[in-house]
Amino acid sequence: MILVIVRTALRQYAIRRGDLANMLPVHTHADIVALGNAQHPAVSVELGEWFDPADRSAPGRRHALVVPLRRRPIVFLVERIEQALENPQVYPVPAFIAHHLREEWALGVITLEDQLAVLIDLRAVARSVVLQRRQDVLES
Amino acid sequence: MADITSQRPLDVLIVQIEHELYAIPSACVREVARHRAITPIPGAPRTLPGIISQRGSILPVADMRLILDLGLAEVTRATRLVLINYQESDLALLVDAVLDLESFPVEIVEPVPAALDLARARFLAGVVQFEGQPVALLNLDELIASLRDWE
Repeated sequence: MILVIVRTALRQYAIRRGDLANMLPVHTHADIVALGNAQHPAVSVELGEWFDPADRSAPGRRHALVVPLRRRPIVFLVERIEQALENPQVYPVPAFIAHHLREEWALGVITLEDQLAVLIDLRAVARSVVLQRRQDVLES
Repeated sequence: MADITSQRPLDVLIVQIEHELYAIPSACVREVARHRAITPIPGAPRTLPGIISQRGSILPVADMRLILDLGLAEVTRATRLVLINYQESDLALLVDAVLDLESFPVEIVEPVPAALDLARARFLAGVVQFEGQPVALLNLDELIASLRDWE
């Protein structure tokens, strides 16, 4: 399993390369729009901000992580891609926390020198994004 | 229940949370560490702000302020992580400061005041007076059970 380590404004996360259709730099909103099409417009989300409103990047050059869902691509924006690791040791989320997760987004934890990175199930997050968007539309 | 007051004498680590003093049984304390970056787990409750790596182990962190319903506070130079092992569980308790190790005769332990808010009282096993201030003895059985059951 190849894991991609990505950095948001405040944190770093590990993502399974297999969850992604593509990852590429984007400079403008038009670059993001171009990742979808008329039938399947892309939905873009700041990955850091999705988890923590304080984890907000300044506008500018980003990297897009494209998760292909059935109806449309979900584009997660991160500040940068740090590295890719092949078959790193993945530790389980400690049971005290795992039992209380309101969403099944965290698959485990990896260690990066003296730091930790949470391994994220980006497809599960993408599904949550779609559900949230649908709910927002219904409530508007 | 393994009652904290069954120890004779009562050896505890005194910590500060908000402006109150609390006592953790010394036998459970593995280490006291300075505050360092806590890695949040997306989707976790606020009482469990994340994980830390300590000597090769990944430990969950429990924010004692939020567990005791005392509200959030800024991290300061005094903020500490008290690493405990209890009932085969490893956990880091986030507290505002660590004061000292103390030993109390068990006879001086008083019951938890009946007027205390129930949400907080459930985590306390008793109260002792220390240098003119009340020190609440943490009930680790209840703390661990609540972390296992927290909805």
